[in-house]
Amino acid sequence: MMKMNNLISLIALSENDKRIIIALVIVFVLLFVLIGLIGMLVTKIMKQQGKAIDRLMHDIVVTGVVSDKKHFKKVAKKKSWRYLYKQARIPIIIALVATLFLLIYYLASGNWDANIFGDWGAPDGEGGKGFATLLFLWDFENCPTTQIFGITVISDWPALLNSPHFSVDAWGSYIFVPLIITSIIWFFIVVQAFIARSFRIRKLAAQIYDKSLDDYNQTKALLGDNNSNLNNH
Amino acid sequence: MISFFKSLGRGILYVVGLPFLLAFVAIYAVFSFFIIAFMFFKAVVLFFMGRSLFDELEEDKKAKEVLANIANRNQPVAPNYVGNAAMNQVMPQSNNYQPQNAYVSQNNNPEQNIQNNNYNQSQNYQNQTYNEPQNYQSNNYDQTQNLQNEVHDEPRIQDAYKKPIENNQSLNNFEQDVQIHEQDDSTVINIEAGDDEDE
Repeated sequence: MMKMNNLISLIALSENDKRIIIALVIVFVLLFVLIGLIGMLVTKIMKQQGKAIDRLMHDIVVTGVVSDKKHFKKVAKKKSWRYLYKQARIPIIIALVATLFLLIYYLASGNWDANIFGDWGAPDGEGGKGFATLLFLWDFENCPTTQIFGITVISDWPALLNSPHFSVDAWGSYIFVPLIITSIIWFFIVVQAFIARSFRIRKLAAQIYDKSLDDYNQTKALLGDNNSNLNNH
Repeated sequence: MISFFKSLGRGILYVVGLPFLLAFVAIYAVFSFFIIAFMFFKAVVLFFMGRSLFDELEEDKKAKEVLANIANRNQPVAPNYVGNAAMNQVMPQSNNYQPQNAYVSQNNNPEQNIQNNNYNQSQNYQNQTYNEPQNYQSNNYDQTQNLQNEVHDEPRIQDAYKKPIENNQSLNNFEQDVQIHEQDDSTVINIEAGDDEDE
């Protein structure tokens, strides 16, 4: 009986509801496609970042100084750690400079409780000591809603709480927040490169030092086929 | 169309796996932070020891040595001094680098032009097309000794005129193919290492 009721309610959809459902499906499909494309971009970037190991290890490998898998991994890991440290110096220095600015701001203002992120000068938008003074803020807590298939969804734009305005009291957050966000994003890119290099080390160690008979054909080798593995060594 | 659906599938996969990916990245970020802290303290300690964190590894030094040896073995020989290309051909006979009809100049005996192993090309040859490098001015050059070493400091063709090669023992380490290439009006001889006819 419940299933019949649900079926009847589906059949009873109005044209507007059907349009909304189709639009939502298209939006979700496009969203997934966009996420897939971004993921492909990230994978491509990581492959490029992993190539740094090739550059670092090339001379050592081609001259035969490193001749086994374990030694290769050990030296490559050492070089990767050094490279990580070299790359991570800049975002860490930026973070330290940002923290220094914040410290100077707290000392100058004397207000150690200031919310440097979210203080937009409620309730009238005047003053404010946070970075939120530069952002559009909407009242999502009290926005109008409606029910669709038992799910509560927003039905209209919420009220605007704050529009961007400049506040002299928030000068510390204007310096600290952009610097710290830059530093965090930069650091995560460096970590991504480190992960990419780790994967590349594992792949290269197997590729260079593992013996494989995948492409070996004994008949061709005996007949002197130029494409056989034996002739290529 | 297929690529569209592939992207859609990848997108769904990434959305489903995103929490795990983020957790993996977060763990690696914490691990990286510890590595950076460790490397920082190591750098400080090395600094006070008079060394640097970015000094070459032993493996890098060995690789550089090997590459330098290979580069020295493959070092091209200086071009001949006389502008006449036909007279500039060096005729190696097996491993004997005693040239024939080469370096013909108004002074037919090249050894007369060599004073204390110092070449002064402008005095000895006309139509100078070659500027003698500084290392040719060096003295105390012992061909026999140097040929037995893997690293050669001076081109061998020039060496042939300093001392006549009396036997082949000095060229025992010297089994290389000699290829003659003509470039414009000068002749450059490139010695390529390694290839042996018996291989």
